[in-house]
Amino acid sequence: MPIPPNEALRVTIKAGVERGKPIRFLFDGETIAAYEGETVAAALLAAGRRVLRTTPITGTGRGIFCGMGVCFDCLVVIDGEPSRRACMIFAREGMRVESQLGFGAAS
Amino acid sequence: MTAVEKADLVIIGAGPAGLSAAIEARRAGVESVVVLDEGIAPGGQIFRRYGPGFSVTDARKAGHEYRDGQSLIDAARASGADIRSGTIVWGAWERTLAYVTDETRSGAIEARTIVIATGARDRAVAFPGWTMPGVMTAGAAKTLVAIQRVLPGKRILMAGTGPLCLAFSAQLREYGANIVEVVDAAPAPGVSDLVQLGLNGNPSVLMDAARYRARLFAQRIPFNHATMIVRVEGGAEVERAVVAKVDRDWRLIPGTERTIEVDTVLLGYGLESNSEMSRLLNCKQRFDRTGGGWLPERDAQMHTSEPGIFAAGDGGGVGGSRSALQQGRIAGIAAARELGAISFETAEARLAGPLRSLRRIDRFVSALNRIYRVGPGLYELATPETLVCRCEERPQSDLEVMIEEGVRDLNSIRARSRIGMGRCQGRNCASHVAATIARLTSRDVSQIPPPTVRPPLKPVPVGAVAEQRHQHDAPTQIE
Amino acid sequence: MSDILGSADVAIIGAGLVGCSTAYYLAKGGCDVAVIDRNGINREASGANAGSLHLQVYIHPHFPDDWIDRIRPTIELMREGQKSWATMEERLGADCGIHLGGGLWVAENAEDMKLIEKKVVAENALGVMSEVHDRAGILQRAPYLGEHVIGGSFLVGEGYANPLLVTPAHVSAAKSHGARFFTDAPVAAISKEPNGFVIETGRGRFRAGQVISAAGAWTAPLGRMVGLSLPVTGSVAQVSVTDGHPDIMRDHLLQHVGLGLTLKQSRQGTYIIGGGWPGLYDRQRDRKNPGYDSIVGNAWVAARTVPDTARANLVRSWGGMGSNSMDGLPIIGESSAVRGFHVVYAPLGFTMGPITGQLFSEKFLTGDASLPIKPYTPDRFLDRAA
Repeated sequence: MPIPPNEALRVTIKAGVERGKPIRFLFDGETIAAYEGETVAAALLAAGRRVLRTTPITGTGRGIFCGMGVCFDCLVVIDGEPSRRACMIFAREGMRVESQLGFGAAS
Repeated sequence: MTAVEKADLVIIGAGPAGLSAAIEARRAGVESVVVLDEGIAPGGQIFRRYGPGFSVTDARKAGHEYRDGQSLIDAARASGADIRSGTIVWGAWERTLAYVTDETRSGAIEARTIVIATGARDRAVAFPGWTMPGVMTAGAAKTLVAIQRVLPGKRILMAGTGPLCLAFSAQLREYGANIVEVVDAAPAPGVSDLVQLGLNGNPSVLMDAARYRARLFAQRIPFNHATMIVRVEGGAEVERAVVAKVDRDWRLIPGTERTIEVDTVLLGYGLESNSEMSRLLNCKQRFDRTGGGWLPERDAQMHTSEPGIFAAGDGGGVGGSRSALQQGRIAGIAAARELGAISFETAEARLAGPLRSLRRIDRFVSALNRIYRVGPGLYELATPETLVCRCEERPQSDLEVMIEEGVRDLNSIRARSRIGMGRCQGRNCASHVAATIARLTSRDVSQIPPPTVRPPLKPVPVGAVAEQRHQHDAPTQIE
Repeated sequence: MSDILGSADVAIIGAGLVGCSTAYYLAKGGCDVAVIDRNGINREASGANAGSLHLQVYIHPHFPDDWIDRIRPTIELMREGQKSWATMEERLGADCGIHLGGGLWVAENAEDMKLIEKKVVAENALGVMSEVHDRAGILQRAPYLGEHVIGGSFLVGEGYANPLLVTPAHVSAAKSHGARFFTDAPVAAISKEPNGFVIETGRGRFRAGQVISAAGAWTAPLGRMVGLSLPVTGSVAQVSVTDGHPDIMRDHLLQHVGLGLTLKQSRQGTYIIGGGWPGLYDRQRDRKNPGYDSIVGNAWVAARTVPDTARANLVRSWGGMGSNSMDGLPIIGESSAVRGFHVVYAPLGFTMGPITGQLFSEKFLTGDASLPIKPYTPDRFLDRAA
């Protein structure tokens, strides 16, 4: 059964623009339903996942802060590559996203 | 330095200022106009396009700035300017600019003239809990909602200042967001303030503000003046916010704290210019308290202190998109004249209109900026444990110890404490650090120079930077 | 200048690592010492280098054949210096960011491997027990190395420190023993008087019984003020640093024989990329700036030698005024032509700074140094015109 995208935080679009086609990607092993055209950050936010990483020194959670690629807080591991900005990268079908713990694991 | 490419005019940034500069320069007959822009598509922040996948079915209903942005982008493309998206300018030597495209390829371009149109960013504010997921800038929320069509949270507090804060809250509500409260740190504008605004500008903008205010009122969304965020609390994410009344300097009035149950706090405390590029290019700077901080000095025709280098739009001083459009036109025309593409007379004739429009817009913007100027209290919210440097996780106490030990300039503080050494390169903390130094040493922020800017201007992958070498050299020994 | 800045028995001119470590040892030994600098502490090469702590001989294919012979005396200094680094944090009671995971030199071709072998022979003869490794061997030590590396040498005990912490740590320790520091006081003139020296600075006149030049790249102009020729020339080198990534370099110091590279990974996971790449000097603003070709070239060598660095982001770069003496050797001791005027200078100023300051101070305080420093006397330049 297809998993419907979480609609609670998605804006109900009345007119003018249409979302891209539904896609699915993984976040820490769980399937996240999204739409093409959404950034990884937006899709995760819509799915209620706001903690994107934990910091190296204090181990505290971070998520979206500036939303425009300046603050480098929204870092996640994408397809094995650490320190990718979730707000700048569009979600793709089958993408493997993981929350980044500290610096991320060595390859 | 081996520059691969040459251009008559390189414009850094494809927002309203950059695009309108490109249009005017091409119109004036400048042959090679190259626009280097970081975004995946032109438009900057205010005219940001939808992500690939979304389709616009009706431009008139596609969003507030969508149509204006699209016609500007179309005109810029049609003008024959070479717009390169996904391109980060990371270094500058004289007028040669080094860039990385798509995080993988690199190159350099030697420009006869340059227009810096790097825009602005949301002001970061340090308070206890500001690093928690759920706290984001108003700009981040705007992009999420308008471009991604995702709401920032379930229960939202908008904490900021000025009519943009008001307008955006009303817009958010229209998208279906649950705005629990809006707090503006500035006092309610007095009669004289309103008169100033009315005299100096476009009354319709004031009418818009009144309309937005009315809409919030109709929705029963509480709107409180002279109120500011104090701290945010929760486990792993935001669970509640504490606000308090403030005086005219935005200092907390004791005994006025109250708690609001929210999961999201948006920070709308104004914008700061992305003036780092102008500093990298050695443009003389001035400090503008209400206009976005450290800015390049410019004359009426957007010329900076450096020959052949212009600055237009929010990157030269925060003024909004209408101002940016006119400034961009002026810079494009002035650059064309400098290149000899048009005569002085033609340039004067073309400059007259935009200069006139700009004067009118700027009077209004200046009045607005003055009324909603940031108070010093904004930088006094951090407690000793509050992380002042998000990137390197350094607390306020580290900063204060440095200052007490006599370390009082931003470069030395960065060297000794790591504050400002992280990926954001000080963009989130420089103003707070400067304000703290000023406060603790009884100086004015204008007396504390900004940190020295060196390449790379933005983080760029080592592999991408090195790629330029692969293009041209076989591995050789170093001479 | 009629203002009086101060006075001291000993005035050290230059608040870099050499000057501040000298101040520490002299003050600890009971001297009344003041340090004068035209700017703040640690402002020049001491604070702008890449933090490498060398013990293996620095080699390059373009160096002359007798290079190792020429610098052989300094290897002993470096060996003592290594002990100094290993005990520094305890001695000063401060964090200096010192990590000594071992040092590697790597080669990409047979000629460069021969240089490494020659180097190791010379080092072993002097008690520096580096080892030669083929590709398999070096990869075992350093699995992070790229495909072009065919072998190299490894030495236990090399590593790196944090230049931003080392000099300030010496300053704090020096102050705790009574040393005084006068910053933002550019020296315009030094005159010898019967009872000592008068130093004219931008903040006033300073009187000192004796003067020690610890001016690094500015040793020559300072020497000229008292009529001495001290042939030291400056040159700008640059460093870049990345953002933080998972640790793979095990606190190593990595160097490349044929191409310019020093590489290490800090505790914060950042890669620090150096190797003597030339920077740019903006004489008008006295700024040492990184240049484009050097940033690109340095990044290229880093990425081919340690492929993991390719995906790290460059975040900062800067330049610093390095220097060398005419013969590549330190200058340590009192001038017999200008009694009471002393020179402390180290060409590899970061690595050799503390030991140089220590040896000078031993000689100054007791008349004897724990290692022979006669070859480094400033008098060897007396035949030259200032």
